[in-house]
Amino acid sequence: MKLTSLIFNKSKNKDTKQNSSQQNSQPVQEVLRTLEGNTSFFKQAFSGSDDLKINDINVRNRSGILVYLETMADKEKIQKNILKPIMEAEPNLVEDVLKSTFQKSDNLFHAQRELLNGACILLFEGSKECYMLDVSISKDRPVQEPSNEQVIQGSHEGFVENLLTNLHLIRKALKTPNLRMENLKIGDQIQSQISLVYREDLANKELIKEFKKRIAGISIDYIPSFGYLQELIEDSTWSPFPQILYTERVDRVVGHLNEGRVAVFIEGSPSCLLIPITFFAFFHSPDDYNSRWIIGSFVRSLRFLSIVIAVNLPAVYIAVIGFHFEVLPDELILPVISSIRNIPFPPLIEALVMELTIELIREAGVRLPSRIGQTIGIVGGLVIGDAVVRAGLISNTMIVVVAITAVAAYSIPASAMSDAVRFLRFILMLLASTFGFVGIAFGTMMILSHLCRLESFGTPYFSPWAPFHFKDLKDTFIRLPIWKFNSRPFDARSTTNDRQSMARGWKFNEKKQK
Amino acid sequence: MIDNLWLEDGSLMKKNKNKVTNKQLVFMIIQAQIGVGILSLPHDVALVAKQDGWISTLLAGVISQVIILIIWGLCRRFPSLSLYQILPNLLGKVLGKFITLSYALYFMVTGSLVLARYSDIIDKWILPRTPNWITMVLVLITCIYIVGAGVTSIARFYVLVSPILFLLIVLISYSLKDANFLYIFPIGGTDLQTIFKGTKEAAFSMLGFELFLFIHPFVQASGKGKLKAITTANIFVTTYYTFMVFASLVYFETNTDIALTPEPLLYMIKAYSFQVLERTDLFFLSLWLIVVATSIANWLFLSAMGFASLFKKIPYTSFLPLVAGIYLVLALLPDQERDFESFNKFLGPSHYIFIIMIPFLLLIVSLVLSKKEEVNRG
Repeated sequence: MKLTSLIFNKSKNKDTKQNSSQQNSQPVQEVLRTLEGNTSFFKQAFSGSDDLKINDINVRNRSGILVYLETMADKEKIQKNILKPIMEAEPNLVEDVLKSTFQKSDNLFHAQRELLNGACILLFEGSKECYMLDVSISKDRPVQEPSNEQVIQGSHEGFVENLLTNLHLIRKALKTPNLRMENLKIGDQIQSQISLVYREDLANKELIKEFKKRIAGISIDYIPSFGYLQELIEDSTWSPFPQILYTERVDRVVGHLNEGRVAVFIEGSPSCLLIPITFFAFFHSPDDYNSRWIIGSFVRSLRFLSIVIAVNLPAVYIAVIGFHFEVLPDELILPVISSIRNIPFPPLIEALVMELTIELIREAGVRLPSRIGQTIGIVGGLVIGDAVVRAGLISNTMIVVVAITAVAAYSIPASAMSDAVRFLRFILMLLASTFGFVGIAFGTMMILSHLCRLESFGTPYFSPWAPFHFKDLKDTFIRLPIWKFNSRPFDARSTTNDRQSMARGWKFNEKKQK
Repeated sequence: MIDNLWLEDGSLMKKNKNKVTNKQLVFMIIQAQIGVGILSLPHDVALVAKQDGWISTLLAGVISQVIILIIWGLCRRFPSLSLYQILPNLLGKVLGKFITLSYALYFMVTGSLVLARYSDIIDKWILPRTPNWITMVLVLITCIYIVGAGVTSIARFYVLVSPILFLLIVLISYSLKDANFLYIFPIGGTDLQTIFKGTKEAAFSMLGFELFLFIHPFVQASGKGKLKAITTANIFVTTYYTFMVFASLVYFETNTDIALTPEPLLYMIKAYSFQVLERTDLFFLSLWLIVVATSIANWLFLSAMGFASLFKKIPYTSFLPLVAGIYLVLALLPDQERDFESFNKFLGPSHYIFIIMIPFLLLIVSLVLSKKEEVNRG
């Protein structure tokens, strides 16, 4: 492996300068004249790995070798796509068959890279060129609905682990020549391929430049998944809030592409990263657009209510019980008092115990098979919830508060945002237990101020609230009817702002005629 | 909508760091002006001007407008320089730096007085047993965080929290159901001199528009646009304050009750309760905290900027912790109601000097010397 790492390290500096012309900057090793030389090159390059197969073949008295990685190449395909056509071809047409079906190269390093992608290499004695054909084994998951982003109505397509399939899904949904895909490579020792997808006529060029600058500035041995990439390129890592939206839904990505945003795919990951993104995009679901707009708006505002509840409710409860009991009206005092009278713990401990229990049940349930997960849910939710109250450890009202909070936190569609919210809740609980309402006020202020200073690739994160754009409120915590969406949102910074005019032109015409 | 421009022309962040739109300027000035004084203003004014307190407040707004005109006149001559840069430009390095320092100190003292009054009210109304310095540290940390993010983020934050002002108005308006509008009669029953005395009290609560002297270079607008913005802010604040004073004048009997209630607005809303909520004043105070924090953040920002402009190439953010520390010490000095009085007495003349006299003199100097910043157009 020394050789490869040496090569890639050398080429790294060049890569960063000219990512697009990557092929040119790769080191060159010309195809050797003798088959023995080529054989030993591949053996050395793969350190004699056992899955490297080098077979001798003989085509019309020309001797050659067939090189492939047993672990990457499909033997059936080799038989069907390579051996059969060559053997069956007319003697004088062999060259033509080779030219039409194979990719040619005179660079052994290129061949080596293709081998890793599942190609089969054909070399002839005395030839200056090698022939390559992709015969990789495809073991793809079928395209199915992502389980963490389900919708009631609408498309049920989701991305898979194969980059080409994902790009195909996008291309199929957006049939316009303006859709541009750019391939980039990152990783110093092991390269991963990422694809930048955007609409050439909409996406902001400065944004793409900025993205490429950040990608070029990355120096890491290997990028195994999108989480790495996200952390390497996002603006502020010192924040609980995700500044890049990742989704596995095709329709969601298509919608964002149409607003002028940029999608980033990474080989081997079913998630697509979307930039630039705002806080409010995390609360959208494709369902909102497929249901009636009044219902969609109602559901959206419900989600925003849920974030307020999820962050603040336990804190407010703690503050009321611990500091400001007098805010409760007379009728409420009695039930609350009777519930908390014999509880041995202060409200903060009560809340922490219950909130942590819920987090634990979630954590335990996530990684278990669904049947055991259900059992854990029942044991955790019902048994613990009921038992702690009966044992007199936790008050009834606290159980109510914690349960509402948990439901509220999980109603946020994007799990990254839901995590952020659940984390912030603990900070506010601590502040509330030390300063009461004052603590909550300052905690909330800190969070808001933090949201105001965050940016996602130069776009204010809390836009359109801060900075305030009245027009863009149409698609934030409410969803106005589609015919109101005449302009694209400012936060996407698209180059053409007009989206449509008179979406319901027929209605307009009818009125005019009257 | 300058914000749109940069979005549309696609130029990215760097060029536009530290820019504020004209609309954001309006809210920045509003948030700077409305501060801790809002709770005690009706009491202070009514003590002097009796039932005509609301006229005094209106007049105070007019006076602020005059000062705003002076300030704006000065800023217009130096469109890309803040006062801290104008001073050495007009008066020479030594004198300029000296006045810069005194400005920074003045903002420091004013800010710490606001801080002290804030923690006094917290102490009285919400957290009687928590030591004052803790609540002060809490607000100072929050303010450092807000201010440390740069002018653009400050502006965004101020706009974001501005709806709170309307919430406060709604809460106060609700209590008007028990008001007796006869209390404000006879209108003009006190003589002019008393009304003017009341104006003096009210004018102190209006302070904050001097922020414009320091942030106007960041604002992306024409000179006239800026004047419009700052005037809008002042009109809003004047109306806001006048409404608050008026509301408490018609709620309390002027001569007896209002003198006994140092924070009349709080007593007003304390008196009523909703079905699910008692002690509305606690919620009012929690919201008010945010309004106060923005104005403390303002003073912090201004004094840190002042210190930073004394030195070359040190960003103001690195002064924030130091300045906040001094705020804390200064704010812990006054202990009692009496100390506030003497604090105020000391500050009274300095307000005149720093807000009116110096900008006015600078304007005259720049007019006489016909000194003015060369503006490259195109």
